[in-house]
Amino acid sequence: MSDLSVSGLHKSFGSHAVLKGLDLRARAGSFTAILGPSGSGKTTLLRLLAGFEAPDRGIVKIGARIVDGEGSHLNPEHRRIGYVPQEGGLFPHITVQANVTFGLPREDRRNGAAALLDLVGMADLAKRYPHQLSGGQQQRVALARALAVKPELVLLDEPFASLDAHLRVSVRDQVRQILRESHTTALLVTHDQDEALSLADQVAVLRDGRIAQCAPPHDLYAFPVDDEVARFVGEANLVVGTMEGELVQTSLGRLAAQWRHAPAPTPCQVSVLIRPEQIELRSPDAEGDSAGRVISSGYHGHDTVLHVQLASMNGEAPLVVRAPGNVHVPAGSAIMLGVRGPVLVWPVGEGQGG
Amino acid sequence: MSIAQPASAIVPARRGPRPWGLLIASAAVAAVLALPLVFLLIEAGGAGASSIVHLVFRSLTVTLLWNTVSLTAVVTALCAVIGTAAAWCVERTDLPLRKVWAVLVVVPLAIPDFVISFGWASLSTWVRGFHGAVLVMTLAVYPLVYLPVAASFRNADPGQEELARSLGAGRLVTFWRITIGQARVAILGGCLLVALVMLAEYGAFEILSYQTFTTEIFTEFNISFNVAAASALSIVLVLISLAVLCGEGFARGRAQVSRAGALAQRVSTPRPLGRAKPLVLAGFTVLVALALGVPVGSAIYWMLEAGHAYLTGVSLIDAAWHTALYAAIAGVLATIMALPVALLALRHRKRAYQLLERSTYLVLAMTGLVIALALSYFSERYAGGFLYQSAPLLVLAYAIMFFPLALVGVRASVAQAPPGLEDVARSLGQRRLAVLWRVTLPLVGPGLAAAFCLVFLSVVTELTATLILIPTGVQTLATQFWSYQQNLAYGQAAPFALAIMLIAALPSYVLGRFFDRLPSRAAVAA
Repeated sequence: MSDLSVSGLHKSFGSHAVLKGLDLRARAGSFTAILGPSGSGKTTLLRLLAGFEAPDRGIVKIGARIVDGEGSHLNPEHRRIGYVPQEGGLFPHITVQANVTFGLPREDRRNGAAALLDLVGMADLAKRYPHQLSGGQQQRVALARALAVKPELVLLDEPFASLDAHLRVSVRDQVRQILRESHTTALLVTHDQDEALSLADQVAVLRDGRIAQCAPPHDLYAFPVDDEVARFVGEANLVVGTMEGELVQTSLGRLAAQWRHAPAPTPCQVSVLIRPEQIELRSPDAEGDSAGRVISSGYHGHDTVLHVQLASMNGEAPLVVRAPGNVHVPAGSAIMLGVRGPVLVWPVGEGQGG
Repeated sequence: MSIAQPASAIVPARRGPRPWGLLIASAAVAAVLALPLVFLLIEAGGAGASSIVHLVFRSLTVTLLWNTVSLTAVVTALCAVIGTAAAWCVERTDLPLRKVWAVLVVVPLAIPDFVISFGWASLSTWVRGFHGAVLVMTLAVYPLVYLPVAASFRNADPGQEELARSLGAGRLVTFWRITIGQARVAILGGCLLVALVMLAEYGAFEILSYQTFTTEIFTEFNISFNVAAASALSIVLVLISLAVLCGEGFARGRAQVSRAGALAQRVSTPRPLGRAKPLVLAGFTVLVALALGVPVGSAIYWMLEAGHAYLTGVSLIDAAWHTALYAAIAGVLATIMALPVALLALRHRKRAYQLLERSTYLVLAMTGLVIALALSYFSERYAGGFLYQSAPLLVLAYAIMFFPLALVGVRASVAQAPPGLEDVARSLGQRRLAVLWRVTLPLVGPGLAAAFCLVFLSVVTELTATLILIPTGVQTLATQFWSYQQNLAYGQAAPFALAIMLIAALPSYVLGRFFDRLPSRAAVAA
């Protein structure tokens, strides 16, 4: 269990630069999610950390050990970093037991697996072969195998992507639980913001070869550094507003404002972030409401996602509104909208994400 | 939980850790494979450029060129038609007894071409010359087209045919554009093999009194001892082989057959043959009777004819032992040589490494006779007779000749084994050699076995290079058969022919199992 510290990591394949000076820190025992779209270099980052490939530049430290940098590259077998690839990557030619004890010294292989298989709840399947296991079981065995060598850091490469939706949530919770019980520092890469926000102690958004923002899930969702991060970690309405004292005037009325950084001198033009669940359907007589028309309505059971065009909006994109599922609002309905709680504002032009 | 950093573990971090071990091993293999070509050029250079030019540009060369090229073209075309048609009927129609036919049509591959040739020629003097060669060689080598095409029909996505029909293509258009289109790469690959076999064949043509480059080179070298003429003709033969290789590469282009989605086997609905069924059945019966029945029947006939007069028990067992011994050692050697080359090209996807792998396919342009001549001439002339007509040189020649076959088997398995597993094993603290031993080798094991069987089978049925390089006083099944056959002692030759077929049968069976199982193994690994 050690701190991970990455600084100035560069990696190119031919003329294609994948990582361009990436910095990242993770505390010992913490769970970090690297969130990024496909092709953003997430897997490259994990492969560099694991030592399968060497970075062009940059330093990787695990605890006090420099594993990459200062002209040296430590081979993967000496790094003590567990790696759980997509779909588990179990060795198909040996049993579950032999998979889990693969990395142990020869004399420990016979008895070494029991405690770990207990930990992942697979004790009775030790004699099975990987193809006899379900996808979720394979993932848990892969995790046990990585933990068996008592790694200082475990890397998980989109480990839940190949699972069914309903299985994914339960396997994910189990994995989180197992990692917490074994006090292992873990790094997970994913393109699923829901997964990142619900699992991790801190989420790092990987964009254009660098970490755009690294913060605890709540801070990331509430205080994204720019438009693009705001949109990437969840659905976001970004509208323009004008500061009037403590309040901001928008097409949704005058709203309580919260500055991301130090407040700018008023009056000024600001960008306003309103999350879909901050917007409520209201009765027509309430104060500060805005009238609009529903353009489309998508029903999801637990909630309904509406696209709403406000009368007061000229040329701005329709608002995304998340209403409770039991409210039936067909397309074409006229509705009134209000906003709950303060909204995040920052000066226009600042933090236009690349 | 602290861990000492072994000094040896730290390597310079320039552009990623280089696989030095694999690189050195592969480069050494490539160098060994290039030896015959180098020797051939030295040999030709020794004869002098002007005499080589003189030897190449004479009327005999034109005759040989015409004989070789016309026969190769006709047989290749016939094999393409027969092999593809048979594969389609077996894999895609409701032909009765499909499983039985699938085995019977492949068996001629385990019978050496010179045995099939002997089977026909010993029964009738009509089977001679061009038409005799067309008949015999087509029957002997059409399985080289059948096998890859049948595999391609098995693995191709039948959904694409349904899709084509739904897009308005009729049955014939669908058959031509989709079914044949999917098999195109396999057909071309099969034709390439057929053409290369045609260029390399000696024994069958000698029996049929048909003159090609290879028979002429053999005569010049082994009977007239005219090394300059042999090497001049060899160079022309290598150039023809290179032209065939390039032609196949050009025709294949960048075509790739892939299937979208999972490799799960969708069973295609067999096409009903309807009223054509008796006709197709008759066709298969005739094909198997001609390709399998005649040579086997002929060998048995000559053996019974001779009666007990020529019981050859001891020499038969001795020859069988040497055949199996050489074949086994050559099989192991070629497989070991193929492993680093395949691992390097597939696991470290760099252009230079892939070129290194490609370069080893140049061996295909060197027929067995040319390789044998180059090695034998060099050991005699420049190495002071070192290894001349010795078992190690013979085995080395086999390993070089059949290296491309070993590479095919090893490559198929390495490509199937997911590379991520080796990374995982290393992250679990295993060194490269341990990973090779504990993960890579078990996963590619079946492919290594297949490679071994391919080489073993080829050595057992090899005649030409063996005749040149066989150690003095030793006989293999093929050479003993050959000397009896040349003395017209058919009754004594026949048991050796049957022994070759028996020894070749087992690896053929193992190979059939391996290539049948490939797709399902892929599904498990994924």
